[in-house]
Amino acid sequence: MTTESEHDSEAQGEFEPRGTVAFVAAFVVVLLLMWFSIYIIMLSRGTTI
Amino acid sequence: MSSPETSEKIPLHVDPTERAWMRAAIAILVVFAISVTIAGFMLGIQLPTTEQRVNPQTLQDAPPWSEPGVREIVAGEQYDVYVVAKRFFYEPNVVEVPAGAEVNFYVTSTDVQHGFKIQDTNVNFMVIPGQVSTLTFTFDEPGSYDYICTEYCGLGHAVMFGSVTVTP
Amino acid sequence: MLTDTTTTPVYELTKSDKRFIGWHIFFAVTALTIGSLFGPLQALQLAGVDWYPNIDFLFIEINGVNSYYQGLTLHGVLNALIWTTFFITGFSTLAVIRGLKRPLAIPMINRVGFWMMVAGLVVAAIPLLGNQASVLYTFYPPMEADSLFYIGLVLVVVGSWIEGLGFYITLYRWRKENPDTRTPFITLAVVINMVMWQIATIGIAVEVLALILPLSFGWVGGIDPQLSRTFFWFTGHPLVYFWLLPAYASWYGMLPKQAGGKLFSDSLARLAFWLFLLLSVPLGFHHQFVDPGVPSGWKYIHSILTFAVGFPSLLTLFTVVASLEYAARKRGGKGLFGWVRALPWGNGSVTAQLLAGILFLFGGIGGIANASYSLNLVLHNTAWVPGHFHLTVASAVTLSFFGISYWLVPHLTGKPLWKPKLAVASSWIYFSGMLIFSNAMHTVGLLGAPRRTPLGLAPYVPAEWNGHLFRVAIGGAIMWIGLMVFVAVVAVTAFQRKRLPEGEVVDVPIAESIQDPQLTPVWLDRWKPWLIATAVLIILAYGPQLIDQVMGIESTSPGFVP
Repeated sequence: MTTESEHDSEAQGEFEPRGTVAFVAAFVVVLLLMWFSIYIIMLSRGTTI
Repeated sequence: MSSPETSEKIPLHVDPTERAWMRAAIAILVVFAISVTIAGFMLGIQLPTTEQRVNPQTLQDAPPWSEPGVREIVAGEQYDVYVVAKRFFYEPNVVEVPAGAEVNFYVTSTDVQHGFKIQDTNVNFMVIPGQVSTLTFTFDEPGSYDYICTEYCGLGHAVMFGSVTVTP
Repeated sequence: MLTDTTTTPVYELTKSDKRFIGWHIFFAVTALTIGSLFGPLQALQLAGVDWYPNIDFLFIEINGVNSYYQGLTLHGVLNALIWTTFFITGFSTLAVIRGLKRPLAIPMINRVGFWMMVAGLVVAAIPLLGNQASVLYTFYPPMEADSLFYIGLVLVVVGSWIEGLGFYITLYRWRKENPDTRTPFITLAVVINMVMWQIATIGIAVEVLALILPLSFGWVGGIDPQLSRTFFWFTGHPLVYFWLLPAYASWYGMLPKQAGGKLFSDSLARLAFWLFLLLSVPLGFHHQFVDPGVPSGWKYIHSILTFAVGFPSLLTLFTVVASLEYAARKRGGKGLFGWVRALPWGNGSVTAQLLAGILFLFGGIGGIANASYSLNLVLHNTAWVPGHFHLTVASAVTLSFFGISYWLVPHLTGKPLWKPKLAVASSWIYFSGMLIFSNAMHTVGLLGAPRRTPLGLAPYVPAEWNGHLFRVAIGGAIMWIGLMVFVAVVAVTAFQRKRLPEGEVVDVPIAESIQDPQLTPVWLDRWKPWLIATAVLIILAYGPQLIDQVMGIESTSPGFVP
């Protein structure tokens, strides 16, 4: 544990969260698809003013 | 351990990848905000706003609420529809308007809170005693559109509905 | 790896503190067990199957009506208000003591607060079980419940405030003893949550004390329902963050340790919590997008502020996933997505929280849709809404609390977790049911199905809804099975005779941060600037409308029994 602690300051630099980037990128795609599909439903249901 | 003096000057350390994500997250939220702004303020898909106050106890003593229903303003082009929500029905429960006409809905309640949602349209709002809810809608397709109560109003809530008949 | 025991805990809670926290969990799980009984009945009712007559014996019959709505009220109050509040105050007590490594400053304050909450629960339970308060958990006036219902709620909320006061005094004492140390993250997180809750519940306190109780006692003849809604939703949205933030606290401050890693960024974890303090309250009008008595301009402002509070959640997504990836890589995880498999899926506590997070991805997407101004015309009061909040409070929160319970109950009782594999299974069963249920609820909501409605009785249900409503019933039943497995695991764990081997304890998993917390900027450990900014933002976002609505009050609506 002590040896790990000594490297802590660099640890974040050494660890590149590539998997996290892939994960959130996939999330963003799903988010945009779902949100805009509801937006399109709204547009198709007519104006209210 | 750093002393309080030096720690005052500690900058916020953010991993570069996470910093990029923070920017992306803000950008995504801005895209949504712009999209709803366009729909609301340019494409005419707006939310209800304040209309007028009424007294639910004396509401039906005088027009227009003493005789809710359809008012023709310009034949074939513009109609006002007054609907009173009550436990557990709407007055009137059938409304007839022509396709292509601008229809202004005015809805209020004489008892508890109700909902008013015309299926397959964007007309969907709360009905609150003391307040008049309003939205304007144009039915392009002839047919029958149910309006249903979407807020719990008591034991008979599930059977509370009416329908708009849109004539060609 | 199924149960993490140690012989050298960092800090041990006293027996009496453990028992005190244990009482919180006992009431929380009991409320959840009773409240969840109605869940599958509601789901079946949507699909046209009415089982309520079969459970008559559970109700104290007073006026003979045992309805869907009585069940729905009990489900909402016991699950969304009682299970959460009791679990959260218990978990927060633990996080304060264990984070600060010191006992509560004045334990009597917390004890008084807790037993006041219990008294409130008992008082509210009388009309709830007697069908005298079947007004649902939003209790919108002028629909009226028996006065005891409101009095009980007031006692629960005030009790939680008093528990919060106990936390503040403890934190203050600790600060005097440790002037130069960063507040431990887990403690800061739960205390920020409590402060946010106290600010937020001012709304509901005003609604109940100034508007509802005078009507209920017959002192006045009417109420202003629109103004009541505005005060209610001042509290109503931050309420969901009050539920959610303890789960976030666990995901940031505990889950990385349980997964075998460290917190990716201490600074940003703290920043997220301060942003939740700042932004949780001034956005309540997004629940009133289609109210007639709120100007659309203010609705628009609150819509934008609701997008803003999405930011700390998106930040949480990255930091928590990065912390998990760090853990998974240390465990030998490979690949762009393959590392996920290297996480300790055999640990019931970890699995519950990972599945909570996965469901919350979709809960978050739905939440952003709910924030989106005119989009509400499609979504408002449809089945989409309960579909959404079952992914938040009933998934992100409840599954995380399952996960926390799987180490917390052994920690408090000194007994080993009963059947760790069943603990893993409970979350998977619940998760599967929730996927089916929530997908169907969202879909049928988009098709126009209303919420809070026994659709089996509704005359306007088109045939295209039926398949989805059937899936609602199936999903709801599966969720209930998963939940009962959870209850069985924690109940047997707590009440079994078997104890952990002499000298062994299950320690509280407190994650270290990759970055030394002492290197976190001081402004992320200071209350004053954040509290001032919070107050200013609330005044700007709510002040003008509140003044308008209060000045224009028209108490013309008499009360109605549901």
